[in-house]
Amino acid sequence: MLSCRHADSLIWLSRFIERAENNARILEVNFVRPFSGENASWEPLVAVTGNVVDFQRLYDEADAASVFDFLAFSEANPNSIVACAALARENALAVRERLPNELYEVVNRFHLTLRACAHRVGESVVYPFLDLVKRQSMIFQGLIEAILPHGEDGAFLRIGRYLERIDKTSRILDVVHYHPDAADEELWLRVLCSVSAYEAYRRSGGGRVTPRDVTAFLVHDGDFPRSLAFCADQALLAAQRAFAGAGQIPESVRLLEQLDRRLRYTTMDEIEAQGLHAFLQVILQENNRIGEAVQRDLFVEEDSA
Amino acid sequence: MFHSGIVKGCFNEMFFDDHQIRPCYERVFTHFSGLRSAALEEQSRKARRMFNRLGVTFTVYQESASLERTLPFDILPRIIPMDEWSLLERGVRQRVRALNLFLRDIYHEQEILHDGIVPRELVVTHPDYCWAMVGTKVPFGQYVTLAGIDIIRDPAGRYLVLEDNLRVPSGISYIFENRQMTQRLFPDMCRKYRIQPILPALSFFARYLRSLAPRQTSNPTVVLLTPGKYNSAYYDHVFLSQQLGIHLVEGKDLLTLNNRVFMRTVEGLKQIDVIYRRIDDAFLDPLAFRSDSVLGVPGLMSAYRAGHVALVNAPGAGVADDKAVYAYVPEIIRYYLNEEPILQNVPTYLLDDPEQRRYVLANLDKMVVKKTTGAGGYGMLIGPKASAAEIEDFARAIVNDPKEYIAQPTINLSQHPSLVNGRFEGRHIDLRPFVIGGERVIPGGLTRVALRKGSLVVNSSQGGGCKDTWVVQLDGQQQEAGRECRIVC
Repeated sequence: MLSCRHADSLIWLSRFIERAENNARILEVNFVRPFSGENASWEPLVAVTGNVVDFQRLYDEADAASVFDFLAFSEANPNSIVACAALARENALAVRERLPNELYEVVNRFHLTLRACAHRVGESVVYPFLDLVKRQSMIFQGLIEAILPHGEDGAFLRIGRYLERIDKTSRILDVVHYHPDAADEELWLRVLCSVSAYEAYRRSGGGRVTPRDVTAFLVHDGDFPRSLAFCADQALLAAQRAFAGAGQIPESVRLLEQLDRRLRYTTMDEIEAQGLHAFLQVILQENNRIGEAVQRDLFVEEDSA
Repeated sequence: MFHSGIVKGCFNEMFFDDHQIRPCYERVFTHFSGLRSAALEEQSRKARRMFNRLGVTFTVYQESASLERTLPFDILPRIIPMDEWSLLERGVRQRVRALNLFLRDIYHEQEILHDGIVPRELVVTHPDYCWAMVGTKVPFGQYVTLAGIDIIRDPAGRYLVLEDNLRVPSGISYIFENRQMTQRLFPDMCRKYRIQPILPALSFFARYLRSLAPRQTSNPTVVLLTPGKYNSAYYDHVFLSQQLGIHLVEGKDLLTLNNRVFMRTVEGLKQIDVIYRRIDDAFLDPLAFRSDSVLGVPGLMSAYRAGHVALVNAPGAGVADDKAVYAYVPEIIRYYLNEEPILQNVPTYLLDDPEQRRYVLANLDKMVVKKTTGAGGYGMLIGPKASAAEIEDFARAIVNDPKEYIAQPTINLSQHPSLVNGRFEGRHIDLRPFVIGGERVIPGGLTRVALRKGSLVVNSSQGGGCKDTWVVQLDGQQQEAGRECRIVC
């Protein structure tokens, strides 16, 4: 028996941890393994995290330093890694008595450590910093698998995790839309790396790195844990488990079924016909609507026991 | 390292007056004497780091900002031998039982007021006297399910009751966190003692709460009602709900329908049977008390009075821990239990009595003056430490509103060596044992330390720290040493 407020906090706890980790992966690709030559372009990175307006308000120009500061540390950016860690911890605090102590400790330390090193990261510690973020997230995910009862609590954490991944994978894939040369092989390699899909892609038989093959992998692959189809499938399973006791089928589950079907049955030809950007915009919108529907399912006033 | 700790005029917990070590402390003394000052400091820092990482913190409010702090933990444990503890335990149990009967009485027949043992005016005009409770049937007559009784030791080493806390006493989690910390830092030392275990008391508490359910059900739903994560005692709330296996809820998670209380859950509404509330009476129910409360549950009091939910502790219990009623507790014990009080009060002067007031005003520099409704160490005067101007202020306040204040002779609290800058120095301490259901006492309790040199104020809001507190069963060897020691002294 889980209170609605706690369910909501669990979703956001795992969304913010996931978001911090994804931001770290994206930053790693761009800062630790920068583009060769003049091709570095920083704006798309900001677009991936979704607040270009905030960025332009805070910085004069988009360069390595300003983008890193914005995505990693800025307190004015609610999606920066440090802000995500703080928000994750706020939510963990709200649901603290349901979390195993070890799990709370990880989230708490994550926040305290990042806060302590914010804005103090020079070039030499960029990699250790990003590595720390990824590692803390992995310990978090690992503890959830290892010691959290796999009931409602776990289901709401998984909803948060997979909705966040759908959002990030879509946005990262959409970056090519903003790029001057959308057929550039290095660009697509970096897309793969940003979602840590490079090895998996190679292993799945992707010898050639073409826009169509990479897109197909990141949209349709049924096994890779950050592909859209996989995430939608998992989010649906999690939502079904989470709302299992709720009586009628909630709106969020219905919307997730729709999204799951769309990702499963839209062929690559159809995606190319409407354009990848347009397709991803639809996915992002549906994903947002699912997030809102979950809120409604949790907080609609009930009038009988 | 320890010898600077002894001060004349107060009881030292660890040493006799002639610097002889008390037998129960011998093994701790040996253990700590073998450690260098740097190592002790390191252990102390380690404790602070661990508490921080684990999030064992409380929030203090300063100039609109809230800061998270760990409660300073003094690594040297306080030890209470079993025979002393048995007396204390019986004493606080007796006190809580009597106060519970007192509460039952003043909200029903009021016999103690009829008989003139406690002045009627003091009780019924008290701001915490809860009119909604008059005639209300309380599940199983339990008004005080959890009480924290503040105990001090006078220079002769006698345990005295300083204060009763019957509303929402906090600090229970630190007893358990401190124990765990000592065990992590000094596992070898802990093994040298037979320390009374404390966890079983929590199982008792969990069972006890469930037993208060008014509904006939095999699996009652128990919740802890918290003001939320910004409350300074939020960690206490988290800890207890984890340990008791109950839901931690805020007012907005609950609603009332047909005089029953429900929780909003993912699976729909679930009826609540027992509410262990950690918010003050005034905020419980905006329909019954403060209408601006957003922490409470509208309709809660009505459901409670209809007998469909249990509230722990009962509303209106605060009238019995008032500092003026305190003066009557020995009489209250005799009245209801027909027993002599096992633990004595600190002598207390009631200031609306002209004679007592005259005496107090003439001796303010030797007195402690407290507001009857005050808590947390705020708004009190400690005569011997106060400036002439402060004394004058209090004198004026007392004359203006004598009922608002009580006075007590300043008792030099006992001292215990505490780690300060790498060495042990004497610091004043008190003890808060927790009594569950008037029956079970968690062995030991929370020892609070006034960390500032010479300070008598132990409250965490005033820079106090805490100690792990052991109740130990002395073995033959230690008892032997004790006998010898007494002969020597």
